[in-house]
Amino acid sequence: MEKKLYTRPIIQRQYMGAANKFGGSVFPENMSSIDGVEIEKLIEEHGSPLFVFSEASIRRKMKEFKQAFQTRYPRFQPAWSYKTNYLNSICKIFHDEGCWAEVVSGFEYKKARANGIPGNKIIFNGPYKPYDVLKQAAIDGAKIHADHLDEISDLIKISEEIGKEIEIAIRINMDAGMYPIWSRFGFNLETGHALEAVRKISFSKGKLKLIGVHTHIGTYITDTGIYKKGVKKLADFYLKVQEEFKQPLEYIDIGGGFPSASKLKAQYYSDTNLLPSMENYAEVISNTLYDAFSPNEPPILFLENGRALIDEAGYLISTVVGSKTMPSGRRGLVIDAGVNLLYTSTWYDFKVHPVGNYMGSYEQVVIYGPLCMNIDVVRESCMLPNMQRGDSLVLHPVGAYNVTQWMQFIEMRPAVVLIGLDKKVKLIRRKETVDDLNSVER
Amino acid sequence: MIPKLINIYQNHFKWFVESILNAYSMVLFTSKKRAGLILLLTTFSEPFAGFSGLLGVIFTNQISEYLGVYREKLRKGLYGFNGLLVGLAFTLYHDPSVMLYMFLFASCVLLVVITIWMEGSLGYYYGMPILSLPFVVVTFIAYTAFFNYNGIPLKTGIYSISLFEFPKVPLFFLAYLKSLGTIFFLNSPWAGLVILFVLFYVSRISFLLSILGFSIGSSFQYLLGGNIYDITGGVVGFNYILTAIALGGIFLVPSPGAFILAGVASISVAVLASFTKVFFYFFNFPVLSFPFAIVTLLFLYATKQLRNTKFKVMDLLPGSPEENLDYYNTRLKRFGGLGLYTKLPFLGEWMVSQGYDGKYTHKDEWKSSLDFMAVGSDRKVRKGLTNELSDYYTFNLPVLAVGSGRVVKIVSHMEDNKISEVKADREEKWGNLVIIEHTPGVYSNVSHLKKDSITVKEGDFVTIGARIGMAGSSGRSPEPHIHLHFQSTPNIGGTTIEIPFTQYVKDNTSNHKSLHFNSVPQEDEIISNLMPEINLKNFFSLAPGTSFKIEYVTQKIKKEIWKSQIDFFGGRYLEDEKGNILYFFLGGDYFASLDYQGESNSALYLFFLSSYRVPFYSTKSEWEEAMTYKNLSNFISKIAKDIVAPFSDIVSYRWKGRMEENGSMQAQLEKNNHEILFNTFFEFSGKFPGIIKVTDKKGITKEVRFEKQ
Repeated sequence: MEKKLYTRPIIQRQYMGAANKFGGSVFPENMSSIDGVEIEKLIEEHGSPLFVFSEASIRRKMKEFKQAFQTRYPRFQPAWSYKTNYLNSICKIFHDEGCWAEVVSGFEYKKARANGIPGNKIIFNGPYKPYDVLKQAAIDGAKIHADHLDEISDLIKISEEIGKEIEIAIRINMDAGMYPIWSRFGFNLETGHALEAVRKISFSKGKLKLIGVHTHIGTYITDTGIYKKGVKKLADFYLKVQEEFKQPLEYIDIGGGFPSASKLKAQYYSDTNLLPSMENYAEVISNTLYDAFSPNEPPILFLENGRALIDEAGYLISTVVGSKTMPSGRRGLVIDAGVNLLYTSTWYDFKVHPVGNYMGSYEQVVIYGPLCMNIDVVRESCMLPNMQRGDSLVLHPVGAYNVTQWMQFIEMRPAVVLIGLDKKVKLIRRKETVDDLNSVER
Repeated sequence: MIPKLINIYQNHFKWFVESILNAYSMVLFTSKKRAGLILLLTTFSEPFAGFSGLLGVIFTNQISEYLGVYREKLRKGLYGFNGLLVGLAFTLYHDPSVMLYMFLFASCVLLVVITIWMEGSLGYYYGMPILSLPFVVVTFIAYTAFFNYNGIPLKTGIYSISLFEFPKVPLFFLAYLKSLGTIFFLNSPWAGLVILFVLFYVSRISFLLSILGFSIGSSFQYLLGGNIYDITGGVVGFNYILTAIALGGIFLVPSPGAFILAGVASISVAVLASFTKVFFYFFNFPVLSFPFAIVTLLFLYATKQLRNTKFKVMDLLPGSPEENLDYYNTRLKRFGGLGLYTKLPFLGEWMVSQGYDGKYTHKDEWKSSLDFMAVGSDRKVRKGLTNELSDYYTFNLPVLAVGSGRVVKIVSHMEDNKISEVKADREEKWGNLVIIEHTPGVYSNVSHLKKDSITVKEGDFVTIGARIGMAGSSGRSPEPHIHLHFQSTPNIGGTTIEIPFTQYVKDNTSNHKSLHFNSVPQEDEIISNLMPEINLKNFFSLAPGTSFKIEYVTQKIKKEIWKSQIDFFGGRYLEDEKGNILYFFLGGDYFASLDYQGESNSALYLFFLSSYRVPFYSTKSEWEEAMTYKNLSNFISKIAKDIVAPFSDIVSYRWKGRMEENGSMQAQLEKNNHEILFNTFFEFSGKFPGIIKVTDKKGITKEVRFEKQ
C-alpha cells in the first residue's frame, strides 16, 4: 500500500456559502500543458521562469477580431500595436494575419521596417518622433499622426527639405465618458485645439495634407457606449473638417482599448463572460460610423488593438523558490518571476494555475517575486493549494505589455518560446546572459 | 494668309471630303476612307449614276449642315449615305437632266428632315439605328411623285463602262457579285467584284456573313420557286447580304448565335422582299433595301428586348465586326455590357447557400436568384448549438445596396421567424425586402431582412455599398439568410434576370483566393467583396494632365515622359512622346488596361502587358482573363484568326495575374496551348508606374521604372 501524501494542516474561516457579501471563492484551475505541450517538459528544456506564447491562440483571436469587423464594416484595416508586444516572431504572425504596424517611437519604426513592413503600411503615433526618423517616415510614405504643433512645424520643414507634400493625420483627445481623459495625447476636441491644428495644416500651402483623424479614448474600456460617444464625436469632426476646409479625408483611426480576459484590481467580478464580445464592439463602432456617414459608405477604419489580441496567448511559467508564514498567519510564496517581468501586475490580478495536482484544501496566499525589493508582489492574495518549493505554476494572461515593459533589474530576463500551429516549440528569444549586458558597457 | 488657308482646309475642305468618302463606306458599315474612295470611283463605272449619287451626298450633307445637324455626324457619313442611295436610285428610270437634279435636291431636303425625325423617334424611344429607312421612304415617295411630272426625261439607254467581257463563272457566284453591285445600283459583275474586295478588305467577318446571308436567302427563294431573275439579277439578293452583315457582325457581336440569327433573318428578308415586290407590282418599283431595313430593325429590337445572353448586342456605336468582337473581348466580356457597377450585398465572407437554378426555391421564373449566409473562419454558418437566430453569423449583419440607384419598394414590418419556421404564402414569402431601381429595366431585390431594420425609405437615392438594413429571417426563411435577385420590373417577386457582379473574391480552401470579374458565383462558394487597399489605390491615382518620368531599360537606359490624358468622351489613356496610346479604366477597386494602339517595342506596351488588370488587393490571390491576339499577330495570321474568332476562343490569349503576399504582382500571357509569350513582374513601389520587368519567350528581360530624383 502506497504511503499517503502529507498535507500541512491549515486553519480557515468558514463563510456561509455564496449568500455573503464576498461571494464564493474562486479556486484556481490546474494547468499541466499549453496547447498540448507538457509544462514540465518546457521547464526541463528552457528553464524557469519562461514566457510561452501560443500561435494558435493568437490566430484564433485575430480571426475572431477580423470576422467581427469585416462582416460589419466595409473598409477595415487593423494595425498591430508594437508597444504591446514587439517580439519579431509575434509581430510577424500579426502581419501574416493582415495587420499593418502601429509604432510609437523611432526604435519601433525601425523594428517594423526590419520586419519587412513597407513604410506606407506603418502608422506612426506617439508624442516623441525624433526628427531624423520622422523624415525617413515621411519619405517612406508612413501614416504619420501628429501629436502637437511643434511636430507639425517639423513636418512642414521636412516637406521643404524633401520637396514632397506629406500626408498626415492628427491625434485628437476628447471627453467620451472615459476617465481619466487622456488629454496629454494630441489635440483637444472640445477646446478647439484640434480645429486649430487642422487650420495650421491646411495653411501650410501644399506642404502638408490632412488625410485622417485619430483618437484613442483609453484602455480596458468595458462600456461599448463610450465607443459610441467617442466615434460619433470623431466622425462629426471628420465631416466638419471636410465641410469647412474642403479637404477630402481618407480614414478614421479609433485606436484600441478593448479589454482582455485579464482582471483589473479594481474590478469586482472577474468573469470574462461579463465583458462585451468583439462582436459587440464591432457592432457599436460600425453602426455609429454607418449612421454618421449615411447614405454614403463610411471611410477607411483603422484599429490598433494590442491587449485584446495578444494577452490571452501569453503565459508565464514560474517556480516556487521558497515558502513562509507571514506574521498575519497568512502563507507567503516566493517565486522566481516578479514585477521585473510582470510590470502590469501593478494593475492586474493574474490568474495563477498550479501545474501539478494537489490534495487537500486551498488557502489564501501572498505571492512575492524574487527581487530584494519590498514592492515585488505578484499577487497580494489568491487561493492556492499546498504548494512547496520546486513546484511550478503558470501566470495567465500575460501576453500584453509584459515582454516589452519587463526590465533587467536584479535578475536577467528569461527565454521566450512560441508553440506553433504544429505544436512544435520554437525558442523566439533566448535567455539573457551577463555577457549581453557587459557587451554594451565601456 | 497661310494659317488662314490651313484653317479653311481643316474646317471646311477636309470635312467636306471626309463627309463624302464616309458616306460611301458607311453603306458597307465601315468608316475606312480608303474604302469610301474606291467605292466612289466604282460608282462612276456608270458615270451618270456616279454623278447623281455624288450629288445626292453633297446635297444631303450641305442641307443638313445648313439646318444645323451636328457636323461630326455628317463627317461620319451618317446622313450622307442615305443621300447617296437616293441619288443612285434616281438614275434607275431617268436620264440625267437639270430637272432631275432639281427634283433630287428637293428629295434630299425631304430626306434630311425624315432622317432627323426618324433618328429622334427610333433612336430615343427604342435605342435603334435608322439604317437606310429614310432612303427607302424618300425613294418610294419620289418614284411615285415622278408620275406627276412630265418635264423629267425617262431613261433611254444603259450607260455603263465595261471594257472587258466578264469571264464565265458559276451562276451562283455571278448572282452573288451582281447582288453586291446592286448595293450601289450597279449592274456589272465587275463592280460587284470590286465591292467584294472592298468588303474583304474592311472586314473578313462581313465577307463571311455576306456569303452566308446570300446563300440561305437565295436558296430559300430558289427552292420555293421564286422569280429566277430576282436571284440572278441581284435585285433582291443584296438585302440578304446587308441583313446578314448588320445582324451577324455590326449590331451584334459576331458569335455563333449572331450567325444563326443572321441566317434566319435572311429567310425573313426573302418573305418581306416578295411581299414588297408584289405590293408595288403595279408601279414596277424595285424592293430597294426596304426588306433589309425592316427585318434588321425587328430582329435587333427582339434581341434587345429578350436580353438573351446568346446574342450580345453592341451597347455603343458599333464598328466593324472585328472591332466589335475585340470590343466585346476586351470590354463587354471583362466589364459587362450594362455599365452597372455591382457589389455583393454584404461584408466579409459569406457562402452561396443556394445558387442559380437551385434545388430548393430558385426555379422557373425565379431561377436567377442567389441566397447567402455568413460563415465563420471555420467556414460554418453557426457559432454554437443554441436554437436562437443569433446563433447564426448571418443574423443582424449589415446588408448593402448591390448598386447605386433609387429605392422603389420596401417591406419592413414582418416578424423574423423562429428557426425552421417559414411563411410561405405568395404575399409573405419574400419577407422584409428592399427593391432598388439601378437603371431602367434593372431592379435588385434583397429579401428576408430583420424586422424594422431597414434604414432607407422609398424614393431615397442610395450609393453602391450603402447600408440598407440588417440580415434577418423573415418570410420564407427557415434560418437567417439573405436572398438576392435582379428583375426587370419594380413589383415584388418579378421574373428574375441574370446580372453578374463586377468582381468578387472567392475563398478556395487552403489559403488560396481567386478573383472573378463580371461573373456569377456558384452554389457553396465562399465569397467576399474585393476591399480596395488604400496604398495601391493611391498608387494608381492618374489625374488627367499629370506627367510621369520613366526610365526604359533595355541594353541602355532611355528616359521618357508619359502623360495621363482624357478624351472628349471621357476615355482615359496614357500617351508617350511617340504617340503610342494605352486606353485604361480606373475603377474603384481595380486598374485595367483596355486597348493599346502603337508600336510593340515601346515601354508603354510593356506596361500594357503587365497591367491588363490590377486589383487593388494585397492578399495572395489569382485571376485570369482573355486577351486579344490583335497586338501579337502578323497580318496573315490576323486574317486567319479573324475568321475563327467569332466561333472559338482558341485564338485568344489567356492573361493570368497573381498577387503575391509581399504586395508585388506577377502575370503571364499564354497561348491556348499554354505556350508562355510573356512573363511580367510588377512592383508598386516609389512613384507610378513603380518597377516593371517583362521577359519574353526568348528570355530577354526589359525593365520600365519610375525615374528616381
